[in-house]
Amino acid sequence: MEAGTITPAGERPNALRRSPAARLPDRLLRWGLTALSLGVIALIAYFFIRLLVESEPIFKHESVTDFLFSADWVPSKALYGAVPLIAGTLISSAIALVIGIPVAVATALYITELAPRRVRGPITLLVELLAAVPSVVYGLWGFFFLIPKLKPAEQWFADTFSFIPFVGGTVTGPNYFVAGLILAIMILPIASAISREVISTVPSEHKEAALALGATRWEMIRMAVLPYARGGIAGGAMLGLGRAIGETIAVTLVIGNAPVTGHSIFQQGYTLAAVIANEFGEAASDPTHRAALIAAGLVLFVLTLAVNGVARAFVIRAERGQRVARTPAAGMAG
Amino acid sequence: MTDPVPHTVRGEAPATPHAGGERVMPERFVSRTPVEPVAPGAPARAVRLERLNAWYGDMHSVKDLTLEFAPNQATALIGPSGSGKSTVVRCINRMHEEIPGARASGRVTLDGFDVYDSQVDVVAVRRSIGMVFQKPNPFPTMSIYDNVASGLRLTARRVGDEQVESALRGAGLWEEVKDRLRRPGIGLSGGQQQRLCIARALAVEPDVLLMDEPASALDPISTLKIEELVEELKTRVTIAIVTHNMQQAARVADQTAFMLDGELVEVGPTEKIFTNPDDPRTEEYVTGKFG
Amino acid sequence: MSSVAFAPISPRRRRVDRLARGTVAALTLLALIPLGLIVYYLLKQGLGAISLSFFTTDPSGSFLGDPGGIKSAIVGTVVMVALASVVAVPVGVGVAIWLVELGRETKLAHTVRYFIDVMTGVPSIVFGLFVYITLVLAGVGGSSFAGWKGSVALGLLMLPIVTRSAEVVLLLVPNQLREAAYALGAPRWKTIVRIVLPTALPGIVTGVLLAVARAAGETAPLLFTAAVVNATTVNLSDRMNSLPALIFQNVGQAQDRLVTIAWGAALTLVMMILVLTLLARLIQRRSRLS
Repeated sequence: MEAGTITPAGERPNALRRSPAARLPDRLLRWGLTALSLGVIALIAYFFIRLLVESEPIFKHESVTDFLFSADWVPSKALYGAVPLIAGTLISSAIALVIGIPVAVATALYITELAPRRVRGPITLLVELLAAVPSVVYGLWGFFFLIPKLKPAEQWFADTFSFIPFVGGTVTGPNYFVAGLILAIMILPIASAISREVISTVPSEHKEAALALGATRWEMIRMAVLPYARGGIAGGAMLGLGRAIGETIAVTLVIGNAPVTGHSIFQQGYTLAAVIANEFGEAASDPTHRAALIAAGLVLFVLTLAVNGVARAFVIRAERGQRVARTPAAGMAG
Repeated sequence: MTDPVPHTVRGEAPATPHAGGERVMPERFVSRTPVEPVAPGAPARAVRLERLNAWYGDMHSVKDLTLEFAPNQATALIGPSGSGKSTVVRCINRMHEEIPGARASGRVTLDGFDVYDSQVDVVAVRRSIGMVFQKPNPFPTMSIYDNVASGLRLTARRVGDEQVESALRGAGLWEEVKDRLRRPGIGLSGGQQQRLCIARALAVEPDVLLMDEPASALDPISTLKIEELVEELKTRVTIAIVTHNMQQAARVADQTAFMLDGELVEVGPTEKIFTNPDDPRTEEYVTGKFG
Repeated sequence: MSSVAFAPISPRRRRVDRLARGTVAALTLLALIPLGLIVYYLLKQGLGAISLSFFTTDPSGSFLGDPGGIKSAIVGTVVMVALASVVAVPVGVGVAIWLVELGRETKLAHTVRYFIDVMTGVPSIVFGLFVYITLVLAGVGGSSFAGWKGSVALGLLMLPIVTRSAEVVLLLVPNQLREAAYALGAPRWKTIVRIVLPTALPGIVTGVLLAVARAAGETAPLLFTAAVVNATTVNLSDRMNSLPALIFQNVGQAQDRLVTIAWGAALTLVMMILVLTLLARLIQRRSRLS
């Protein structure tokens, strides 16, 4: 404003208020996006309810405990016991964790602590590329390559170590072990990424403290890096578990789809996800069967919810722990 | 960082006690049965730096430095920020080379034995030369007891309670924590954490203790306690203490070295450095004209 | 001077150190072997199927004779993923904008974030099941299986991925930029559209590409929403073929030539996903943020 101009009181422009028209886009944006976000919540809730509703027929047919705890899944006889499915899901996922997590942590340690600097980028990229392979291709490879190639070795292992529980006995081509192995490969990228993340945030002061005490490199990792990172690593493992539980296509191609609980890890099995993919076709005409599959989907949904919830708790606690560890306790001097 | 080549040391460290004049390393892992600190007057080691040079990449941070740290004494390194004092101290226990791109040349000897000799294992060096850092860094997942024992556990399968107690007494912390040894180390106050780190370093019975601005992150009362500790400790270990606090140097150090821009400007008895230094730059610094 | 100096570190410690580090390196190598093997097998088995006609002919559906190509699968995948993106990307970015700019730390925002997190963990087959129940069984839109229903399932899959990555990127936009705009009197919507979004765009594009790559590879949700057909169609209300479904269908076949088709399709699919992934990483690296 130029000096000397004084707008008359009556015509003073109210520069501090915008016209309602000018505020409209902001309003629209706010309400639109809020509605969108609320819509997301509504959608999930709706789907959960629909799942419940559509699975009702099976629970008229047999009780919830029967569904969850009986061991016979024979649709042709209208028997729907989910035990082999749940067992298969847990067994294959457990194998995936046992094989996959140590390897994931090893890659994370190697990349952040041990590898020469120039190699770090390429190796990280290669590990990440494992995630680019779609599950159907993993299944394809597992079916045509892994299963035939592993069978002799599995047979040898089962015979030599038959005293270990769940190892001895006949070996089928598709089995829990192959499924677990493929799942291990599939969860590797995410478990490695999270482990890498936590390991690289270990403050160097702890590593220096260990080295200054006269620790070898590995001792330093054991003393200062791993204990610090273990919460985050556990969180990554849980996320991997969640992924393994829900994996459908790769598993169904290599696990054999036998609705029984095998006696050894080298025998065929079934999982919740695989049964849905395999049987929905024949279930199209049988409402009870269909409802059973939907109920299996519900169980799967709840399982992944639980596992991911635990994973998130771990990761949050790990982050909080890191923040606490960095600030010494306030209070008395000395 | 490239891995230091694993070394084999020629011969063995015999267990014979010091015969007159013969320089031999005493047996290292004798556990001391009395629970008081080691009797004063036990031999510590002289550290001598000869023509030490250190670089961070291309940056020449320590230039041709020759300096001796007398045994059973505290030597302070003072100087403005960036003068290279921390780097010097980190070269003594070979922590400098842990930084990617960093290197050093020259001789650093502990009683005549060159720390940088190709036959020497850097891990063994760091066992004999302990370090306390500027920011207290107890291991966050370990208890007080485990923190002190952590260095000991690297070499011995069993750690005696008396070793932990002795170290904590040596750091002046025993009375304050004796009832809560199993509590987490990070639950202590800043000053206590630093004394915990001192106890941890003392537990492995080093000959030399390097202290890199150990009290700069602490409140005045804790600082005073640390300084009292240095007075006590120098009777059993050789101490090199980096400090930017001149009053601190004046209080605790027998000998003071003044560094500027990576060079050693002057070294001498503390009193002389502060009251009657030879070099005009030293005089300017200690009278507060810069830095 | 003699070099007998510091007590030798016990050989056992040295051995443990070397063994441990060797094991870590070995396990890392082990982790990369499957990648090599898969690439090798894809090329070995799949290259043989690749030809121009492979891409331009539909699967014949016959068990004997010429198995045809994968044209309908490619078209189907592209069309369904495109439709899914057209819906999932604006919605996903919109929710992310709401979370970062408008909702922020409110209780509602926390709830929304929680639900998005939940969505990330839902297995893709459960999404397929949702869509099957709500759209196929209910006969919405006439015919039971349809390409657009497959898109819905894929879109549900993509949504949390897009939202999550967009949220991360939007949070990285320095607050000073927003404050500078507000200080100049810009209304919120303008700040978002003209300042925040353009800065965040490369990161958002990266997230979108990764979500697209993910959706292109999904099989399970399509099995009972879009089903599998052989003929090429762009009519989204018809059943549609897709690369993953085609591969899945042909795996169990005894016919060698069908298996080769599967490998060829797998190679094609992996190539597509690889291009998308590498493009995403490239854009990410060139972005000014992060």
